[in-house]
Amino acid sequence: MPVASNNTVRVAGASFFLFCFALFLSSYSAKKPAIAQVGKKLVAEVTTPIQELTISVQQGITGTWDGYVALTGVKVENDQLKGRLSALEGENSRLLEFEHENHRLKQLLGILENADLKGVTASVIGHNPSNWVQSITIDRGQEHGITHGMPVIESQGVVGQVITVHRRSSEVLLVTDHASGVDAIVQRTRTRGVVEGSGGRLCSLRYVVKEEELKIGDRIITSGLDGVFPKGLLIGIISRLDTNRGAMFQNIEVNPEVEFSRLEDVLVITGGNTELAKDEPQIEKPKLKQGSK
Amino acid sequence: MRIFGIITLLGFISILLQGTILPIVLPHYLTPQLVVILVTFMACYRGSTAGAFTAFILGLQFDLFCGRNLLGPYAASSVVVFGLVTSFSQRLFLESFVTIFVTVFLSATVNQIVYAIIISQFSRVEALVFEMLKFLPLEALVTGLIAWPLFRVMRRRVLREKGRSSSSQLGWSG
Repeated sequence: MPVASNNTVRVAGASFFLFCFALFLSSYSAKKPAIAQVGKKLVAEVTTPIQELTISVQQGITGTWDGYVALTGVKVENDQLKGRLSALEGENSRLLEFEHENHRLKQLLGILENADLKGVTASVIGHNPSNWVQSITIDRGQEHGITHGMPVIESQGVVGQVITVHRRSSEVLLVTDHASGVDAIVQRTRTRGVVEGSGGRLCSLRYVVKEEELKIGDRIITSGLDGVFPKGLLIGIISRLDTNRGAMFQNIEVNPEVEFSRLEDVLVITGGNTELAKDEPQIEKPKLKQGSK
Repeated sequence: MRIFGIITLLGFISILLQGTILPIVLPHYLTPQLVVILVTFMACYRGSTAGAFTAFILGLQFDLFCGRNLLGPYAASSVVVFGLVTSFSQRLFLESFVTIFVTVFLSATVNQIVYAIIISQFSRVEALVFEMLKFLPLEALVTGLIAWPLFRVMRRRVLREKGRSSSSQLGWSG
């Protein structure tokens, strides 16, 4: 028993000391964020190749599995072709993956051509492990001309903004993060507001006075006034409206168009005109077959 | 010391998993806190000063991967969880699923609450804290549920434990 008590005291003492040290570190890094950035850069150098490898393995497994499921019926009907089919199966799923990738990249390049923008396509290689931060890691960094603050979009709409740039990878803060804010307008009524992340899957449109008559289903697009995102990019759709009698502003919930958990390729806008050619969103929904993915 | 090295490596792999594959296959509120499971495991079976230091390193790793500009909040919350679980571990019957589930569930809850308190001191996150605490019970539940098989595997592979030895003996073997 005394051994256990001594150990308890020692552990409690060590834990208390480390807790105080961690608090000091938090306080110090809050004042000097560069310290945290140095550590993050070092970690990124080590983890980027591992993340790339993990994602490519995961995509390979998904592709093979999808191909298998798609061809199961054919296999049953054609027993004599079973061997040949299984050999073609892998090839087929690989080609399907190429086709999907080609389609996505074409859509992204189409945005660049329509809007006179310059950009770099990038693949998503990681998500933030913490639920407290909504960010993704992409496989493009300083070497590819990415700098802090560049907007990131996808064929369906706005994704977020580059917040940390490493040599061969970057971290993108998603529009759903609580620290994110995008100047926006409601496409139908031209009402201005700021789309802020809620920290979960949704966003909210803030600073819209309650006299504005908005409807569920209204499309929210970028205004271009923040000097970051080109005008006219789709952010999301109004999914809930709440007008408190006493409040000055409406509570507007926005459902982002981009499916962040399924992001694969994005476009980092590196320069060019910050206003799209037309006021309407330039982006069409991808016409991928749901079943083939 | 070998065990603490392995746990640190497992922590690194867990964070990579949480940052690559898990968000694709699970909704964010169902993603288990693997680091908390490791910290709780260490506190249950290796409650020592070296264990506390490993918990700190595990938390710091998580901060380096995930924190925006803050270094330390997760390290602090991990150390708190480690200290609390170690102080109770001698009284826990760790052969039971329910004990491990409840211990890890509470550890995950305490960890997130302490984390929320610390980051709210350094940045404006009131709305986020509310959003995160909404999903906390579900997240802690998932973490608690997957802890049982992970504990079993780690006891066999990491601690090289054979048979069903007493948890109290293991808890204070250093």
